[in-house]
Amino acid sequence: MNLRKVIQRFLVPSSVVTLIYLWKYGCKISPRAEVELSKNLRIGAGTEIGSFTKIKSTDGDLKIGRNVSIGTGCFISADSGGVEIGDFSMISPNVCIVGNSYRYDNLNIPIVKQDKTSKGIVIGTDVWIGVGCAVLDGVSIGNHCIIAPNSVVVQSLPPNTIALGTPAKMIFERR
Amino acid sequence: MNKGLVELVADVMGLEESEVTGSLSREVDTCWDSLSHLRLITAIEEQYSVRLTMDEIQSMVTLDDVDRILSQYLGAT
Repeated sequence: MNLRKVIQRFLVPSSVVTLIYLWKYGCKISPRAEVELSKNLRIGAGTEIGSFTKIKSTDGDLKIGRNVSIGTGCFISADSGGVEIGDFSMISPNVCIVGNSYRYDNLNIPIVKQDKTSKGIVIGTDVWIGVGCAVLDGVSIGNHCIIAPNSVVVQSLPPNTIALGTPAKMIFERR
Repeated sequence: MNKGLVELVADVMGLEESEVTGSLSREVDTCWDSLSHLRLITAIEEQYSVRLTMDEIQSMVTLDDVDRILSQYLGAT
């Protein structure tokens, strides 16, 4: 980890980050959230981020749209593939959105020492992700989707879908 | 009641076919929760190649309601 990352992650008080993002983007970040000060992170006006949420964007672009609601205790991590969250989406508490994965094709090397991969994640507008869901790398969630609580999204979902389960599967098309 | 519908409901809600009656209600019976309701609608649409409206979906409170609305579609074809 280079010096710049260390400063961004650990040496800027969270209350200062809250004020900077409020002034710069007009969004409300809880002082108890852990949001990195990074040029890769863009947050739309009116977006709210709850306490104990960790947002990690020093390794890739993370775009959060306008009027997005991110609940308490979430983890959102962007890597080289980037992560996008569309306008008016709701991310419920304890949701994990992880924009990278690890290679595991060599049994002689510990997974943590193998390369990371990142295809990116795109979450459309007006998407509601229920409590405790996980959205994995490479997934695209269409506009107006609803993901039921505790689902694991491993495949892309078309617009207007209500999905449930591990792996999340479509159970209904909104109309 | 439509035999195919009874089989569908039993499958979606994890019931024995003998437990599936017209009085089964999503306001009373815990096996018929909001997600089961959506799964049931999707199963009906796939099985009978129909497309229900939101008003119809919301008005399906008992299995008799489901049967009545479905009969309207099947009678029209």
